[in-house]
Amino acid sequence: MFGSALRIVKSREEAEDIVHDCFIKGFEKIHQIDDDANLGAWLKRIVINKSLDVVRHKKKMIWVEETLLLEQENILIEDDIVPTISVEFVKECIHKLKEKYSIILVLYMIEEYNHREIGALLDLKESTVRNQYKRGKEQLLALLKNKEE
Amino acid sequence: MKLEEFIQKNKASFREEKMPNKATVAFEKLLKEKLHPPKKQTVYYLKYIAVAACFAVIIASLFWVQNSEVSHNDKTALLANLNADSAGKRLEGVYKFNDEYEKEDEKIINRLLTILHKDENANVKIATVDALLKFPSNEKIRKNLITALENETTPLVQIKLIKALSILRENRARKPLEKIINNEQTYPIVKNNATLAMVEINQ
Repeated sequence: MFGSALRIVKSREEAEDIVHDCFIKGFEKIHQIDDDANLGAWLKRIVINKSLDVVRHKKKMIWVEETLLLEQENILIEDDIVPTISVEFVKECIHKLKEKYSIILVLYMIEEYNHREIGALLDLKESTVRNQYKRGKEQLLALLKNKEE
Repeated sequence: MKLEEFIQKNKASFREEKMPNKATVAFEKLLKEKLHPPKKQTVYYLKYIAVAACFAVIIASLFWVQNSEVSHNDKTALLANLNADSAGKRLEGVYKFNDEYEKEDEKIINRLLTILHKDENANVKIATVDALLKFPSNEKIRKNLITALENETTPLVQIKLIKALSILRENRARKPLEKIINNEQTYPIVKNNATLAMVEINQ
C-alpha cells in the first residue's frame, strides 16, 4: 500500500501520511465491507483514491479530457527493452515522467487496473486513458533507450 | 523483451517499497489520537459515572424515604409504649429508647421527663434515669434530674438519681444532696450514697 501511494504521489512523507490516514479511515468504516470482501484490496483501493486526491488537490493537477482521436493508434511502437536493464532504473524513469503519464502507467502496469477502471478513477474517458498511456509509455521507452545507448 | 513483460516479470521488485520503521511510532500516535482520544474517553466514563450517580441518588432517596417512614412508625410505637398503662410496656419503651435511639428527640425526652417526675413505678423511673443519661450535655435533662432528686421519696430511685448526678458532676445537686443528708427520715443507704456523691462532686 505504501508502494502504491509512493508511486502516485512520489514523496515518501506524503505516502506515509496517506497510508496512516487510510488505515484510520479503514478502521472507522470497516463495518461497511462485506464479510467475504478482500480487506487488503479494499484498503489498497482507499489508498490509491486518497493518493489521487492528494495529487489533485496538493499539486493542483487536473486530468484533461482529450478530444483528439487515437491519431497514432495504428503506429507500432518499438517497445522492446534489453532484459538486463535494472528495475531501479525503470522506476527512476517512471518517476521522471510527467505525473499525468506516470500515474496512468503505474496504475495500468503495476497496480493492474484496466483502462476503463483508470478512467473511472481519474474521471476520464477510456479513450483518453488509452492515449495518455500510449504517450506515457513512449516517453518512458525513450528514457530507457537513452540509457541503452 | 517488451516493457510490460519486463514489469510483469519483476512485479515483486516494483512493489517492494516498505514503510520506514519510524512510521510505526507515528502511526501508533495517530491511532491513539484518532481512535482513542483521551478526552472522549473521559467523557465516556463521565457519562457512566453520571448515570451511576443518578442511580445512587435515586436509591439513596428511596432508602431515606423508607427509613424516615420506618423511623416515624418506630417513634409512634415507642411513644405509645411510654404512654401505656402497663408498667411493663412503659419499661419496654424506655429500654427500646435506650437501646435504639442515638439522637435526641424532644417529644420522647419530654415524655421521659414526665415519667421521671410522675411515674408510679420505681423500676420505670430507674430505667428512665439511665436512658436520660445518654444525653449528658442536655441542660433540660440535667435540671430535671436535680428537680427529680429534690422531690423523689422512693429510696431506690433516690439512689439512682444521686449516682446519676454524681456521674454528671452536677454542682447544682449539692443543695438537694444536703437536704437528703440532713433529713432524718432518709434511709441510711441513701444518705451514704448522697455523702459519697457530695465528696465526688466537691473534688
